[in-house]
Amino acid sequence: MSNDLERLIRESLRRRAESVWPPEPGARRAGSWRWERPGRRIAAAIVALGLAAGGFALVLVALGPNKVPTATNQPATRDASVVRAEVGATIPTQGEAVSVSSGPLGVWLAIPERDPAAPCSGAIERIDPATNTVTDTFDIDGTPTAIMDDADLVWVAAQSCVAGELPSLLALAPSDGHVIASVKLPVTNGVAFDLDESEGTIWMAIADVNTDRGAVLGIDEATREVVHNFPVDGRLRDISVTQSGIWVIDDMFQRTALIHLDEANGSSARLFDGRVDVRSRFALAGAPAGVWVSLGTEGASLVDQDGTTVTGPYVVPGGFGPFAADEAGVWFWGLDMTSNEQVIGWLDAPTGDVRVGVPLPDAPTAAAVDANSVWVALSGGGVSRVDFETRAVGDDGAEP
Amino acid sequence: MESLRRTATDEAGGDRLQDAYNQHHQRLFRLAYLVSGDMWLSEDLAQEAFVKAQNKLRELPAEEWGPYLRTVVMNLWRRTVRRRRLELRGRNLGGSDWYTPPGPEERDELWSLLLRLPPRQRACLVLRYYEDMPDRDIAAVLGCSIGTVKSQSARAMAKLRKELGQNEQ
Repeated sequence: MSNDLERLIRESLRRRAESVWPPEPGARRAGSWRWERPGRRIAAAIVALGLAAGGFALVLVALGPNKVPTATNQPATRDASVVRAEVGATIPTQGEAVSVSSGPLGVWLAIPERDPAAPCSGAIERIDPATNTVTDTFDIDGTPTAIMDDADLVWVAAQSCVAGELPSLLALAPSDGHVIASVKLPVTNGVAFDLDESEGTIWMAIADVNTDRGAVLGIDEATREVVHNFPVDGRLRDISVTQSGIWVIDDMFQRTALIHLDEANGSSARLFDGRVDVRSRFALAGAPAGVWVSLGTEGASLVDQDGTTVTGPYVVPGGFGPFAADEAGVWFWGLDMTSNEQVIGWLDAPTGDVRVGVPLPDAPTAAAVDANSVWVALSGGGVSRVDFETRAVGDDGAEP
Repeated sequence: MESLRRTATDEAGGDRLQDAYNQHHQRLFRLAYLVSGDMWLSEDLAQEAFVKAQNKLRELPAEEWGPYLRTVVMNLWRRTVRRRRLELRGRNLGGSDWYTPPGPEERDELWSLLLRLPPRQRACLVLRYYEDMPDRDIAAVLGCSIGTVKSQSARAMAKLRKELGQNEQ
């Protein structure tokens, strides 16, 4: 029986393997997904050999952690050429964070599971930037998936632990973590991976993980009621609210897109169908001039506020996942093609130059930026603090 | 960065990368397909493997390209599985599974059962019976112990026997 089964498995695998071929050039999958011509990325990689070996390595050598002390009293400047950065020791946490927020109340982490064996063991943790340690851990009833703090409260999107129950947006008191308000979100089995705030409204993109039907919701901070509910289908993920409306990433497998919604009536338009790269988890960063969107090995582009003009793509070998931006440029996740390390980088928008690339100890899962540091949650747990000079970017880039 | 020019060494490296691609792309694609069950993801994984491995390929002798690329593909696949874990958990609340590609064309019952195995169990069987790798090498590729490979393989075989037995009844 055993030998028969082994023979059958061998035959099945061989037969199956021989029945599939890499997709032909120009092949298209059903729907709007666009197949990238086989070999195109290889060609890009060959070209990137020179760029990566030279450019990024030079940046790392010139501005790497061994040469760049950060603690100075120099005044902030907008000259990107003086950006310096170094990554500190990893700050231990009780689990892998999927969302980070840095603000006046500290650095906040949403940790879906502290114990992999206990599905409902999520927590919120706060890091004190003064000591680089976790000072508070608050239990959450549910699975926290996104977090954002404002001047008074900590807002947490939490998935219910019970199938079929509605998710919630929780308002927590930063002092002791008690729930001041809980807003039921009208999307069954919904998960929100990102939050943003604009003019007294908390915004989120949330989708039913089983049906991929979702909505962009706006919750009034004062009344704690859902005041906007714009239905949007897709596997919704990052969100950024800018002066021209709401920008959302659809993470639908191989049919990704940047969606723009009119804040007044919810009318929407899809951009970059099939081209948005979400593998790094960093795909969107709002900026005064528009939004940065990741196009993977094509680089990243800046889409203006009208959604009509695209600048770029700015190509960074190894990928480009933007997560915070201001008028001078954008912070991004990247892969240093020379050392094969994951890095946090800064791209100077006017020149297209990468000015800093700081290697991380592990793959990032989430990041936030404040006046002095980039806080990066790491795969498997822990947070790296990347200290830098001169850059001042609002959290998520939405409020520069 | 734009001002940098490719050097002769880089061009030679590019030629080696192209050679490696021509020799190994199809096999890598098929390996990725067998562990993931998704043709389109497989091509992404195979191509990304070459991008990630390009510098190493310049250093390695040609006979070591295959094993090295195989390891990179499996690492990328494991990373993909890890990244989707949270979404999988969410999906499991409702019972569906991002990694179960049903495929209307599915007629091979055993293949269908293989696809329903947990990712690591499936990988153990693919590496053992398609790549003909010994358990020691499988453990190295999957980043686990030999004992784990043996136990995962045994569990997978037991499941397949049970399913096949039940289906025959």
